[in-house]
Amino acid sequence: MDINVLDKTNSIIDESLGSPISSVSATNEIDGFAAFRILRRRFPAAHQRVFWETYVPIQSASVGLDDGDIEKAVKLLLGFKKIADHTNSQWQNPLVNVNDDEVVFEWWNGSKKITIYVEYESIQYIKVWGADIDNEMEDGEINSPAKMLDLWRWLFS
Amino acid sequence: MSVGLNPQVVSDDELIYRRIPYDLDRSKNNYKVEDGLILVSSQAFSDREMCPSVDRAKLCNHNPQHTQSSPDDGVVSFICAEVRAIDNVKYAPPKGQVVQYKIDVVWRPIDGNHAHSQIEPSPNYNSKNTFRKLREKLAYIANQKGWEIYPLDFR
Repeated sequence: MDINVLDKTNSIIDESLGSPISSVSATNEIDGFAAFRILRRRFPAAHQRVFWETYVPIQSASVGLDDGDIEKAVKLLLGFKKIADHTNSQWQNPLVNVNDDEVVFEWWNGSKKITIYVEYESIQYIKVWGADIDNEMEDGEINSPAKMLDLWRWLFS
Repeated sequence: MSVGLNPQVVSDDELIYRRIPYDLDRSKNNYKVEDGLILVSSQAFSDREMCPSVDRAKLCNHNPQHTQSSPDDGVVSFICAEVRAIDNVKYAPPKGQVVQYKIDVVWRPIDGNHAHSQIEPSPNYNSKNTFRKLREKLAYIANQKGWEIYPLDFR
């Protein structure tokens, strides 16, 4: 099951996590609207809604972000959407924010919460399941599809 | 920690207000409805200097409306001691000594807002992640306590 899920998510996640930043940022030199059209075409029809619902809030607050950063964030989100589909868990749009040079996604499920920071250099997460920073919060880096799956399962199990 | 008789020191029992901006164009999303609750986001405590602003209630007639920039904004509150009790904010570098931060509420009056104060660490943060965890903690406490003023959508 895990391998199956990972196989199906690998391609899109590898694009966002594995490819060099320079290639992700290839749309930088294109004007904003053209970049948007190119970006939109890259996502399969099944995920267009998620794309619209995440790209627009990111874009509307994206002063300081380049198109490559936005693409990285949207691709990460679509990776989570695929994981949700393949694990038969209900998809929830995250709360989306942009702070200076980072895109932030937040999901809640009861007493559990995940915050993800998409930055130029890395993708960081904080898991929260209580108020105690030492014993009820955990932070780390998302650097593999397995980590994404792990986080998603933790939140929605 | 606090010296109640010195008006320049925010005493432990003081109420402090934090503005939760309502953003008309939705470029910032500071709260979300989840299971019927309006949850404050950790991003509502973002601050470029990593020292979120608050207002001392006793210096604004205990009126949370003072803290709103717009009548549409929401406001949450803390007891100062709750913030100072956050004693496990720390940074553990891969090599070297763990840095333990003392979190304080410091009165920083500014033009036009005599009540203005800041939630400040000592020493200064040397990692963004450390401040991120503090924000999660503040949001957690705020969500336990509820709102002084709901944002416009929910009144």
